[in-house]
Amino acid sequence: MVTLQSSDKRDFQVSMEVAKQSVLIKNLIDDLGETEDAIPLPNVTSKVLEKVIEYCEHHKHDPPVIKDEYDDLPKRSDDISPWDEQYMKIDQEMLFEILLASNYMDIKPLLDLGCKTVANMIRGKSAEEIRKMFNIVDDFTPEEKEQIKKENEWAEAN
Amino acid sequence: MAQQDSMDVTDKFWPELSAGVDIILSKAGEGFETALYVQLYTDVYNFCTALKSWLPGGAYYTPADTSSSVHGSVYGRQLYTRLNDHVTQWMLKVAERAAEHTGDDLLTFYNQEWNKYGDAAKTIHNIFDYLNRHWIQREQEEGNNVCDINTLMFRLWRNNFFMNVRNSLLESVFSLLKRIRGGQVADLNLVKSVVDSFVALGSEDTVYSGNKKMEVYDSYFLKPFIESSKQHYEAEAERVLQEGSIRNYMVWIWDKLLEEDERAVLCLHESSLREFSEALNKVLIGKQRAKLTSEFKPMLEAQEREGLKRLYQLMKRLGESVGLDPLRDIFGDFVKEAGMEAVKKVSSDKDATESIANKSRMFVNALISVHDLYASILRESFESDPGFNKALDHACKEYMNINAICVSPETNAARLLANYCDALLKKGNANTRVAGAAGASSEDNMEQQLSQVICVFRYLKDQDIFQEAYWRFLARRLVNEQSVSSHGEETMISKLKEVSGVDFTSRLTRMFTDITMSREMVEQFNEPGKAQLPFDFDMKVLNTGSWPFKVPDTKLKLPSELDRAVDQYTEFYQSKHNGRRLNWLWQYSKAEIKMFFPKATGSAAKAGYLFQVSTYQLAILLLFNADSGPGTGYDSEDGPTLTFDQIVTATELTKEAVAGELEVFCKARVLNSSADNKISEDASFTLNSGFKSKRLRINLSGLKKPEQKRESNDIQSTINVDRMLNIQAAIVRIMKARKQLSHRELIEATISHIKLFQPQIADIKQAIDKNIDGGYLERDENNRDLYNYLA
Repeated sequence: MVTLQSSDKRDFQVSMEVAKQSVLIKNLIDDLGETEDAIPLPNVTSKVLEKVIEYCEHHKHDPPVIKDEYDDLPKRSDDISPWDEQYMKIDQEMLFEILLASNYMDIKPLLDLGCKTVANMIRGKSAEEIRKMFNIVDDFTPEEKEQIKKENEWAEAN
Repeated sequence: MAQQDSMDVTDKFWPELSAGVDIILSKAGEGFETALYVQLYTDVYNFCTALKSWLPGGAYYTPADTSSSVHGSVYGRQLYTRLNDHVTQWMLKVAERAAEHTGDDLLTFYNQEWNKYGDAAKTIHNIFDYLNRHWIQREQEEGNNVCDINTLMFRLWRNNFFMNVRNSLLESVFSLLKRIRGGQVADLNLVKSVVDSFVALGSEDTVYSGNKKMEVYDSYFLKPFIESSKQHYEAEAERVLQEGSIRNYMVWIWDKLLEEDERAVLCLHESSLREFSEALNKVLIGKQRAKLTSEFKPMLEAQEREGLKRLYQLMKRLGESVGLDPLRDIFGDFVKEAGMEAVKKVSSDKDATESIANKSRMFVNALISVHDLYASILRESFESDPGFNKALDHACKEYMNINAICVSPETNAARLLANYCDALLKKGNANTRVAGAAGASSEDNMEQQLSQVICVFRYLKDQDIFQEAYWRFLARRLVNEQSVSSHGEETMISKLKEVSGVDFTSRLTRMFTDITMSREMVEQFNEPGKAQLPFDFDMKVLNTGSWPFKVPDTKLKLPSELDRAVDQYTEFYQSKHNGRRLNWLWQYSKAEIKMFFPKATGSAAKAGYLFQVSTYQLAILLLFNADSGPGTGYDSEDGPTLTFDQIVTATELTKEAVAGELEVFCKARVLNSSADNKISEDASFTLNSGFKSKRLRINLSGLKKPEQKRESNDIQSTINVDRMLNIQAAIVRIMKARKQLSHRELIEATISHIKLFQPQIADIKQAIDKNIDGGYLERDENNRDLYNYLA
């Protein structure tokens, strides 16, 4: 078993195979050997870490991803499994935190799942709607907007 | 990129991160705190993501230019450069410490540092993982000269440490090797680890992986290593040659090369083993090639198997054509010479001239002993090398066929071999008796001797002559029931089948079938209640085509007793096989008769003498019987007196045949001749009533000399006819396939087509003419040198 410690000092006991889905943890154990000390994760809160561990528990038996093969595949966002879809039914802030945590802990499948979820959220929406959804201030000048519209005319035509 | 100069944000936290790197570098392999590991990783992550940059003391620093899309790139480069500079300084310090060590000490130091550094490089690579994953990967995709952190670490080792210490390092390596070569004890593992590190360092751009460049190993280590090894052995070789003989030198380089091979496998990268070994071969073997080669013949003469093996192995290192071919030539010549010498010795031996049987046996044994000796050397000393094997085969073909004994058709190697083979398979021959006494099982011994026959057979130039003679000898053995065992005969047939093919052996097999069938027929014929003959009677029915026998050239009037038996058997046979004609070959048949001589005394008087006679002899002897019938007594004491002509008339034999048999009788003193025991057509003959012999069993039927001579001539003429037919058939087959050939081409094709014997050019020319006459070929009208096939 491995103990992970969140930024707010909560300990989480997980099995080795769960922990090693994070490349950060995997390298650490490879480099330093197995340790009884809690492994601190100063960039992840307990709330987020719990959610991340839930994902890793569920996916602990997945075959390891072969990097080159994975990168060559065309990216798509409609292949999310029902469990993953259910898992991603979370508020926007949590979604954002999970993206950060999976990037930090280097859990590639979780990072991809988060990105796909965001992609599905913005699909078919206008710039104004997207700004509203993510609370983004419109800081383009009218000239800049005109320019962007021009550059993307080819896409609108279809 | 202008921002880089204006503000290097790494200044703010690099001290903390570099302190961590130092801990990893100095403590690698000992382990350190998990918390520190995560802290360093997190620092790199936070710095690179730059959303909130970390500052010493736990505060966060938000860069002023977050809006800029290039900030990640700038920070990445700054971090990379910092690390590069920092580790460079570290390496230079290690180089300074290394300067305090020399010799084995330096090697130990280098290896310790190397092992630690390998671990550290991997850990630092992982700590900087975020940099690897993002900034470095992007830079590499854009084609910039940036490598991952692990590779960077080894590049820094190479440029800032290895390049500074390499001279003293290599000096230490070579001095250690020199001590080992000089017979001192030293730890070769020190060298091995150093060399392994050279391989791992690869070249300036890459870490060694798979087949990529090994610049450090190749140019800084391998080349000087080979050079110094060559120098060392050049000097040593000169010293050893001055101090001792070339034989000593051979043993010495053998040991040295084995030692070096062993060390090379341990220390060198596998890709350079060959280059190193070739360099040593050149210095130690190649330079003395002529001297070494000249030792080969004396070693063969003395049969120094170990030495020959060593020399073979040494020369093999120089390669097939340079090293081994000259030895193969010498070997072939030597075997040929030895074979010639052995045969010559037999040819002048008194025993060999005594009888053809002795000559055959001694000849074949001489052939075998030379072949077996050098075949065993081939196996033991030359690893059954195919090239040497070929030289041996070639030499055997020479000395076995053309030598001091094979000078006439009667002493052709094939004929002598067939004689020898007959003696082996015939009852009561000296060879098997001797072997039995020696204790070996006679069947094993027979098997071995027959294998030797086949061994010689393979080298015969006239295999067809052997086949012909073997066939005739076998026929004789079967008809005379002289085979030593049916197992022996079968063994030989199956061996012949392997080398000659079923075409040849099927005829032989048919002969065995005839004999078996005949035995069954006679058993049925002799069944009680059928034939009632006053004597035992045996008959062999042979297929005309399978046997080498001819209808006799003399008539014979059978004695009445025999005549009845023949009639009965003929009737019996016809009832089983209607329509077959039986010709009687009386010249091959024999009888046993009991003779009671009037003046005999003792056991000879009571039991009589048992004579083994030919049927011709039987017909003549029965004429001298007293009228009252065999074995009951005599009217006149000496029986009838008969003139030569009376005998010829009564038996209907030719005069020559009668004269021949009478000569045998008179010589054995069974008959008396009126002409002073000479045979003349004017003489008359009577039974020698006072015949006396120590033995009660007397064989008078032995084959007479002239018949053997005739047999020999028969073989020669049969062979001549067969060969001509063979050549003609071969020519037709070749022309059918090739349609048109020049004279020269046709002759060459014919020679290579015929395997059983070596056709003479004159015979081929004659066969071509016969084929033209036969309408199979024609000369081309426009070019007289061309032949065309006529379908």
